[in-house]
Amino acid sequence: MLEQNSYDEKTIIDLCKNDDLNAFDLLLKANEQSVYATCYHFMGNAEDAEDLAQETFLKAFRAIKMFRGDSSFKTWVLHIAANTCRDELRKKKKTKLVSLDAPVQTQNGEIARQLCDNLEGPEQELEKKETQLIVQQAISELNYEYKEILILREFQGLSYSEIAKVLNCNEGTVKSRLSRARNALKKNITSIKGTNPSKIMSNIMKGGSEYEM
Amino acid sequence: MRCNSTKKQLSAFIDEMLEPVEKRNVQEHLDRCKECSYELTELKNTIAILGTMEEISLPSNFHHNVLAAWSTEIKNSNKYANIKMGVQRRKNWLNVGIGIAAVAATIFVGNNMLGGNLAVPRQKPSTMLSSSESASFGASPSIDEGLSVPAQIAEDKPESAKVSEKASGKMAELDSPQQPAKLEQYASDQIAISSALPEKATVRIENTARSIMEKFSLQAKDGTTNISNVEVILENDTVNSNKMEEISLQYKASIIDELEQEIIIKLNQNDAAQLVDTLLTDGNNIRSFSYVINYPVANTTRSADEKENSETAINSIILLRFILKS
Repeated sequence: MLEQNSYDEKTIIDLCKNDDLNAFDLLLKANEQSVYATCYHFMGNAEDAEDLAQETFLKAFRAIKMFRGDSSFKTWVLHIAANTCRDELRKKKKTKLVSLDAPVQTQNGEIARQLCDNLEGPEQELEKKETQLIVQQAISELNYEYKEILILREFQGLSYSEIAKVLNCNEGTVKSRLSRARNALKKNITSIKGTNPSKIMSNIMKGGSEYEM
Repeated sequence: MRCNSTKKQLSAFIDEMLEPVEKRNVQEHLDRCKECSYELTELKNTIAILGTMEEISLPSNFHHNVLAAWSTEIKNSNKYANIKMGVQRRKNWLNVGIGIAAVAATIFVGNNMLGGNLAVPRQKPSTMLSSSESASFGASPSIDEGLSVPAQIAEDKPESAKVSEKASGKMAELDSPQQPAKLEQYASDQIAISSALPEKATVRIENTARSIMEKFSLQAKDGTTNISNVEVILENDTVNSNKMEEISLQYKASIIDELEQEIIIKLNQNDAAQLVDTLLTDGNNIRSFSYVINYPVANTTRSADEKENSETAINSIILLRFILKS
């Protein structure tokens, strides 16, 4: 995991346990992308993602002495990230309402929400960008459990057994929950975009040439 | 094999996570069922779409910010170690003999301070103040049962100070590895072993505490600076926990002639760091001080609501001990 150096993870973590700031630096560098992206996918906006990713690392660092290395640090810290985001989402749930014409928050600012695309012959890039928004929306509309497992599997690329560790469940549960989550996402994408995933995908691949069909 | 059960297995089929038998069954079904084949394609494309998502780019200052926040935390805990050493050195040349008993004052700021984390303030401060049954401090049951802890309200400060009489016997063993629990135990032990103080000392502690609160604008989370609840505790024993033992030993060393106080205040991290800096540079009446910051460990057995409350109630606990100039 810590590609850029010759230490293995255990060595790094032992150094962290002795308050070695350089070791924390390395540990952070190796995991910050995953943790931030995970928080981003959970929260759907950069501001929350940044706050919660930072909180996640501080929590993990404070508790580093209790980390026994039963799993990889990445699995452990993602577990903390998922819990941190879940708590935050719970807090927000009470007040959050998604308006159909509210702008979508993206990394690059606000973009008007489009429920159905009327563009003719869109460029590949545009198609990709729009798909990105749709997918983010489709994910954000999932319940927490589905969101969580999709983020771990599709964005973080964890194996079934790693996911089982993060979620504290068995692989059978991972298998069935992932299946349900994927189907729910498929349904969401289809209803937001108005076309099925296969068409969207071929559109992306061929720069939109099949879009009119 | 039926369509329904096949569809349920498509996800694992894509990931190659089916047993060989299951896999063969699904494959056989797919070969002759158009609908399920279509489902498979749809699901594969759903996953593929996720793969086309651009990688979320990390904010440029993220790494720096996290590291800076963390190094501040580490630095603060190291400062504690340095200060402690300073105290140890200083006592070697101290003149001994003024004769005021060393005391620890645990000052509870406002109502929600420390929430339920300490055994002692589980009773609301207001209850503690007005109740004449406050003989029992509501310390942990083991202590209540094992040692009778008669407490009395200092007569000249009925609304503000309580002094519990010395309790005999051995302190309860600490077995919880978690800091807040230790702190809780620590606080109740402090009370269990505390003695009635000379009236003078009580007044002095309270006044000093008040002036320090005012001087550094210490505030409870609810914005009050109410320090009417002052627990005065005489410390004369060690506590059976590593960290607390260190503190107690240090304490003991200066027990003869120093008026030593301990304040437990709820502060957020930045305020805590700022307070410490201020005390270091501007503690005009303070000879020396030491502190420990305890970060509350999330208690997973609590319900979500309780957890939320406790999270908003306590950012961090700073345990501050200072020695006054005589």
